[in-house]
Amino acid sequence: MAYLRGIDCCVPETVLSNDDLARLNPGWRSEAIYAKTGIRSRRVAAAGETAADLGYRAAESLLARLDFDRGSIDALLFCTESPDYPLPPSACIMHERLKLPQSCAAFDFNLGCSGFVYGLWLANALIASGAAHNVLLVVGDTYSKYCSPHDLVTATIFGDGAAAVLITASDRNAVASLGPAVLGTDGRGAEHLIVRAGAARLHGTACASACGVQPAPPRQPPALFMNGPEVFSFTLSAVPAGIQRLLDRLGAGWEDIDLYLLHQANRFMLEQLRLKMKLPPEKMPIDIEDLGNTVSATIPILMRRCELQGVLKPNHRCILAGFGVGYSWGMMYLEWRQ
Amino acid sequence: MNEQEIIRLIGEALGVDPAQLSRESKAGDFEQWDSMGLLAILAQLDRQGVHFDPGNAVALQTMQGILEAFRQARKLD
Repeated sequence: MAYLRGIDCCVPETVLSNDDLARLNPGWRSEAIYAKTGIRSRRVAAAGETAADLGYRAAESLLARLDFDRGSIDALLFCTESPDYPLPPSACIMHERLKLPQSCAAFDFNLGCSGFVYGLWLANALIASGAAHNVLLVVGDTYSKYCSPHDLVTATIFGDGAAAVLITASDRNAVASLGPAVLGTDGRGAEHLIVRAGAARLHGTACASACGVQPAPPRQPPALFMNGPEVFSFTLSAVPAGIQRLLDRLGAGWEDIDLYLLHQANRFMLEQLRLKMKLPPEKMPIDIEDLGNTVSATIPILMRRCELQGVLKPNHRCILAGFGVGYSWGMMYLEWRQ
Repeated sequence: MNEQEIIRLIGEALGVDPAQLSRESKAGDFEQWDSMGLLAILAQLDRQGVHFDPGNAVALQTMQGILEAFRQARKLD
């Protein structure tokens, strides 16, 4: 079994409010954005500030607070869809900044809103196999770099942020124990939540065009596209079914779980999920008003806030659920200890 | 389920008084029946066991289209 030692988070300083968006877009109303999304403001990274910067700050803060021997960290996993560069992996840069030992593995993995649960699952598996004893998992994204401030669908929802958690083989000073997980993928959904430009599919034909094979198309800025009805429909279908699979695996019923900690997509979607799953509001916290949807960081940010507010209590049985781009989803059982 | 019951459910989803809705209603008639309203209707269909292809979401812009979705799912008497 693996244990969670602590959580820390970091968001950029710059606040983008609904009023700011309404000023930029005549016809948009600040209160209407809030009514539809449950979000009043979100944080956006400054020019030159990246998800890895935010993740580094979260990890540094966590390791300092726990006074953890960073020389004993065996693996650094960084989940992001907004890396510093196509290469090298941002995790390698973060590894150097965190002064982790050369014996520590470090790599990025590319997932969105399911990424935190996937990272916990991966860390759990590394520890269970004996391949690692201490794993630092960092998740973070800066979707604001992919969003047009004039796109009502994405600019109103997404915010930038990162979080870091430490997972250990030892239960000493643990705040939670990790349990089973169920994961899933449906690649048919890839086209419905996508940034098409910026990677290899639309680029990189300069060498080929020099040989007269194919002309290089002009580079385009990466722009996030989201097909709202398709993503919404996927979520309504995959999330309750995924949680049910996990409950079946646990031999538990919906009522046996104290807290359902879901990816904070937007308030409307979460309310519709809650209605479908017939959960009371106190069992499914929604905390999105000031940060928006921070992609893979929403669950650890929610957990940290629930921890600080005393919502997470000793022996609380929790289910974490992340879902989104891919499509990809992951649910994990976790027991809070402190 | 009859038409009036379905219209009541759609009013509930949109936050519109069902008395203002009829089988002739359409998206342009109500501010609430916008892109988010469309998602609210999708969610209501889902809760009623009407499995609807979101790729055809344009059909949910009229009450006739919604009634047809219920009819095809054999949920309309």
